[in-house]
Amino acid sequence: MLKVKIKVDNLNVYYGNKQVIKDVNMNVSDHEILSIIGPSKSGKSTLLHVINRLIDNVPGAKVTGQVCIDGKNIYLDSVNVNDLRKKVGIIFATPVPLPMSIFNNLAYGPRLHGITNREKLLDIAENCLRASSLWDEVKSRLDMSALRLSGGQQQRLCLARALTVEPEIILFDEPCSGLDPISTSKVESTMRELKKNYTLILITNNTKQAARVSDRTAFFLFGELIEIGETKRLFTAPKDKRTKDYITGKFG
Amino acid sequence: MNKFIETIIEKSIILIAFSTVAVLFLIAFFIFKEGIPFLAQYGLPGFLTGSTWLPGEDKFGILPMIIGSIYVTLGALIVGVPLGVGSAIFLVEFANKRIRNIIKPAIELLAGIPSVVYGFIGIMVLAPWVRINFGGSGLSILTASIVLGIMILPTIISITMDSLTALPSVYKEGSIALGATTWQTVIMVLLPGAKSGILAGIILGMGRAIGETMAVIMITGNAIRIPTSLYDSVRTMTSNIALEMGYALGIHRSALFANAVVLFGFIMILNTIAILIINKRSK
Repeated sequence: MLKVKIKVDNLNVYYGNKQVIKDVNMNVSDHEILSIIGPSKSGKSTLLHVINRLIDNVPGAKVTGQVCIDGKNIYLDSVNVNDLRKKVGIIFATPVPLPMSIFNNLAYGPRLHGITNREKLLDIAENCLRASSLWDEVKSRLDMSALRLSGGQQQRLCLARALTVEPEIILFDEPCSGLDPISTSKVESTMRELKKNYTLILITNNTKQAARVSDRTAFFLFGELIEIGETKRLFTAPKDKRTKDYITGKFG
Repeated sequence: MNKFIETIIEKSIILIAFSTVAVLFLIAFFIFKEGIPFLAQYGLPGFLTGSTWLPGEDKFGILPMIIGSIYVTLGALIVGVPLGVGSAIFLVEFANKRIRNIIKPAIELLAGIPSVVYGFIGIMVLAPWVRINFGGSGLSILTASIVLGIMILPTIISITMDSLTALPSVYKEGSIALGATTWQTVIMVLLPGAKSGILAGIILGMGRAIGETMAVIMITGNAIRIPTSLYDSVRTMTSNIALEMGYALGIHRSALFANAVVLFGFIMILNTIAILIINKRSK
């Protein structure tokens, strides 16, 4: 059995009076890619926002239960949220390049955490761009505004940027929803590469993508975890009828 | 019949819209008509760089007034920009809705106070304070800077707030997700992102400060001389026109119009810069 990286215990999340995650228990192992599938409003994105505590910034959101990373509850008062977010990177559905040059986008995170040496920043930028397979496309124009990159390039830039702060976990919130098939396959192959060094959670509306890249898959419906298991098994022999209905396209 | 009425309404609205432009042109036309012949006769360089203004002796140099206007305006910016941008950041990024709902209307109210009231407060409260603490008459660049700085706050705050809220919320999310604090996000992402909007707000505030007359007449002391310290009295271009136009005749009157031409030029340049910046942002 692989080492458990993230452990979610009796997690409930409310927005005001509305419960969006209902009593979820699950583990994510070190160095795996876990896909989360499910129709919209099923609490998938909320779960990611819980794991890096971006949910703290959502007015009216309430979290009960436990989320542990490496055995430590991240909701204790003693946890430094900024350090947590450094450790748990996130890639959003829409690429979010900051309005500055490519290089400055990549230097942003390390600078926040105290690295100012330009040589070192260039080093980090190159490594991370290579890891997200963007280096060859942008190496000659690092000073160009990041907003001028194509959508697929922007998304890989955001991935590279998430890597610059040396995270251990990377959360992907439908990273390919706005990308063409070629960009999508580039992002997917990058994810498989990243698996060696990171733990990945991938939310996707595309069940085929889940089947292509992930080791295990979890199916969420209306805030409940319906089923979680080996991707192959879940797609070929789902235990729950609702899972089966969803992956065969009967609803959702 | 309905269609006919529609057409009438439409045409009158167009007429009304264009009348604004017409008024602008009329103002420009009359100022220039009176001012340009004087400038042609007296010479623009002598008018701009002359440091003596003695209408009785036909000496018309407005350099002291130009410098006075620039100092007072810069002073207003030094006071108003940090306060204004700071308030805007606080209101957009840190204040909760309840606090914002109290402060925002208060700031808007600030814009509605007549300038003579600002001048009154300046002369009764601020000037004595400056006189006691820093010497001089109290009617000085410093006093005017503080009062004008407060007067331009509403402009700067509301435009800065607009450009901060206009930024996509994902910038903030993206930055926070990298482990940045709110403050780091403001300094490193939001302010640079809203830079052009903030600059436009500052320039509009500057236009307001340079054009302000009533409060300035009351608190600058109106001495015609090139100031050497912050506590000196100065006279601005606007005060010069307002103070003397009532009794000026002949060439003196034309000189004041020429002064207005220069002021007009200053404000046109500032507004053009502001418009260029705003257009560049929306591209």
